[in-house]
Amino acid sequence: MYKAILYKEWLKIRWAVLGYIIVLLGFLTYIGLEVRYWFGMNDPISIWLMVIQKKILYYSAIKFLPVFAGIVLAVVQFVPEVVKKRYRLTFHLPISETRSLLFMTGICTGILLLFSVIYILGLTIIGGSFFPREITSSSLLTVAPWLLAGLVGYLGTAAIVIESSWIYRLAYALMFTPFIMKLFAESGYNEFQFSFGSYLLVSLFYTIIVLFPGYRLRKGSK
Amino acid sequence: MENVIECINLTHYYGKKLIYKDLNFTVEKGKIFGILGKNGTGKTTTINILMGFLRPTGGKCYVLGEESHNLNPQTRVKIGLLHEGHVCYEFMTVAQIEKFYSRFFPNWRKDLYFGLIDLLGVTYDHKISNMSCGQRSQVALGLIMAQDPELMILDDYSMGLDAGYRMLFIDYLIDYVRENNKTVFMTSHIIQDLEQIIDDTIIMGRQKILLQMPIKEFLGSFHQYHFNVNGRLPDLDYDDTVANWESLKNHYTVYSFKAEGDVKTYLENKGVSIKDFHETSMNLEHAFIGLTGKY
Amino acid sequence: MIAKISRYAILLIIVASLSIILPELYWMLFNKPIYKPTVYYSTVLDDFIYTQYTDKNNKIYSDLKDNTYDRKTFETMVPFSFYYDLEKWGILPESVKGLQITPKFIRYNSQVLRITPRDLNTPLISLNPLIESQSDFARLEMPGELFRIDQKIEFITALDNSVNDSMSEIYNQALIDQGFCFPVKIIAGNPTTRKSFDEGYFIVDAQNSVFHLKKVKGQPRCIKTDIPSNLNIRTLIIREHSRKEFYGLIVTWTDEVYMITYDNYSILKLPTEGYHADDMALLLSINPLHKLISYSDSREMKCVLLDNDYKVVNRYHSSWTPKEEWISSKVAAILFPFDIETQSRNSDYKYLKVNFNGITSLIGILIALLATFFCKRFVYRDELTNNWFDFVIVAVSGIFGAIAVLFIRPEPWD
Repeated sequence: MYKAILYKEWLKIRWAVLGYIIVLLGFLTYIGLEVRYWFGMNDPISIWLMVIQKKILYYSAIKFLPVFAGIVLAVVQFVPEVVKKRYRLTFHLPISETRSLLFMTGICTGILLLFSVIYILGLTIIGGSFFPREITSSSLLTVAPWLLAGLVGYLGTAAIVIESSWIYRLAYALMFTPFIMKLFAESGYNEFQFSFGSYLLVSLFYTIIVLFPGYRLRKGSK
Repeated sequence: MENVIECINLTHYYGKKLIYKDLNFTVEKGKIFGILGKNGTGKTTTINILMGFLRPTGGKCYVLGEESHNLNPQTRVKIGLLHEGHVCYEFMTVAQIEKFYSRFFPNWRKDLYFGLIDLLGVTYDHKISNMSCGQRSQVALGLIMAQDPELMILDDYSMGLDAGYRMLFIDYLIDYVRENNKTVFMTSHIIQDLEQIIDDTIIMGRQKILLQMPIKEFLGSFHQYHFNVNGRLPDLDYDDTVANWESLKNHYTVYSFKAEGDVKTYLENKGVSIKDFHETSMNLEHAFIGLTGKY
Repeated sequence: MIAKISRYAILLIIVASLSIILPELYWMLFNKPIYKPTVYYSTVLDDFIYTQYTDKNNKIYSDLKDNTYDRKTFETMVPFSFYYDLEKWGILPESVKGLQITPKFIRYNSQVLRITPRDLNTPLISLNPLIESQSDFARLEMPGELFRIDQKIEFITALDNSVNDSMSEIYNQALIDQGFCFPVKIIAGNPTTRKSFDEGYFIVDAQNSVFHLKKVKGQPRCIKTDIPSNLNIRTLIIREHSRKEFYGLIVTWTDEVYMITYDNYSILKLPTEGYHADDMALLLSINPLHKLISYSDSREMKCVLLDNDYKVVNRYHSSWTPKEEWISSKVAAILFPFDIETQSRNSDYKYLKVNFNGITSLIGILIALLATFFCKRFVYRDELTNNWFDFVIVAVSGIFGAIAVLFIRPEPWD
């Protein structure tokens, strides 16, 4: 049964997944080339010091990619379920709504984690080729909130799409956004060093928020 | 006889708007049950409640012994749903959707599904979103037949189908249902189709059930009488005798469950002098309109 | 059941969001700037003198006896701070308090050093350039490598991003020879070429000893200083100055400030009572006659004037209504039981910190509870007993919870 649902979800999201991987690899290549160009045009030490002292984030071009991926995934996964009331097909399958919803969001969470691995790998390769390991590891710590924003953005958007009432949708959209925005608030590297754990903890609550709109959808609440 | 569906004092409001109050009906095992009613009488509401996608404001609705909006996943295996517009996972192909559903149902009957598909002459890698409405209806029917459910709930199967597909659909459905002793609950806006299929019916009026009886009994006991009068006739009341009436100039039509003689006597007692009193026969659609009125 | 829990998760997220956003919006409406005085010491009046904005476009120039001046007069009373203007006007005195002055003399004998809370609370990548301190050339130059120092010192060449082993070994040995004990606790320097000479780095080792490392003619010069190891050093701020009076300042975790002098690294405690490094900006301004230390936060400012022998000559204290006592703060404390702080002007780090507003917020909570009850009971006619936890949420989070539970209503649960 779960394999069948995985199959169905894959059919919906596969183009978005492949598309995003291409976009991500494209951006990573761009960053790599750009950094290489800087090093070609300048004294390498000045680039290092610019990163360390001026806190220039050479990877900021991919800041919003994860949250973009999350939103797109939620849309391509759940909009087909909602239009023409196709959720009725899914909710009538002999599997509990809770399980199928959590499994569905679990699939895309897994895919976002896979995206994150590519993201981190890309930054590690770029960092490793041009910068000392301290700069590379700080880049990974700095992008952690952005990657988290991808997951939270996905789960929030999924809840908004599944929700049947426009007023609730608006309330969710307004209320889920401030937390996500805070994850982008950095002005330099490593600024979430001490609070990332707290942000992660709050994000855990996002993992089950789809169930309430799912329940409302199932029971025909307006 | 075992009841597959049992609705007790079913009441529903949308906000403050009452759809109906204290609806009671049952559907017996092995029967094909049709629900008729004009737009806005709550047909869709009832179907939504039965399918489990709407929680009634009041009353209970049991399907296979469980509350319809809180069905056990295992019970859902025994219920086949055909959604309005033959909605299915259109992003799948003919073969993909079969592969998908087969994983969920233990008694999956692949042969029934592909039997229907083969009639369409489409290839198995044909995407459902590229199919016509009629072709899609066959896919949807094939899927619930293959599911081998005890109860089938069909929401307006005829929507968007031309006459040919409608007949094809019904032929296959009847054949399948009779052969496998299935229970069916259905609606359609094409009433004449239902006449040949359904055993039992409820006819819904505004906020209430107008009648529930086997369809043969309804057609046998509901009459249409015509007569002419001289001059003007006072408005008739709706009562035991007059279920409905209409007039065009001095030509009158009265619908009634009473026999010809009773109606004639009833009218004469009202002091009406009538000419050319006679009964004409009705099909289901005609009788339905006769009972519920044209407006 | 899980759907019910899911709703509570949503409510919690909404409460968190509102407790970030609503106080932010509130203060966007009601916050006012705090106009702190800028304090100088007038050699003419022999007393403190200050400028202060009274509102956005009104700046006053005043002494402590409430005499106000125009800008030009004011500047003539503080010649060491405004000598360039005075010189332009041709009225720079030839001597002040018997001291012969020229613009060059003043410039040479003046220094300004500032420590803000942000300087102490900012993430830093600990890779530093070791600049040649005795170059053959007039200007300082960035070296071709940075060094990391933790379990050992390593120089990384930028050209090929690789460790320069031989150089690392030489420096490592120099540290070890001085009795340096890895790992490193603190490293502080002033890694810029925009200064006249370089003093390298002050490094605190595992045993809290302070070492001074610099590069002289390409070779390490490492000195173990006599700075006491029990100072509990938080950070060092190194600022080279041609006067070569001190290397910089030490700030300890107990909020004491010391000066590291050129006199064999002997330290000198500055009189900074009441200084709090996490909230206060500290300014040390030095002119040919005095050293003025001023430190302030959002509620008060303290200034201490020292003479050239570091004896306290005069003190100044000024305070103003702290933000916590504003009416708008009191209203906020009633309205919001708490707020979530995500960033601070005193730090570059991001937080997710809950600040409780104290006992007065019970009033707001009570109002929120009543409003919630009224709405649920009489307007929505919701089921109350099955959703009692909604009231717990409101009792804890006041207005935030009330908005959340009234917007996202409970379902008829199965």
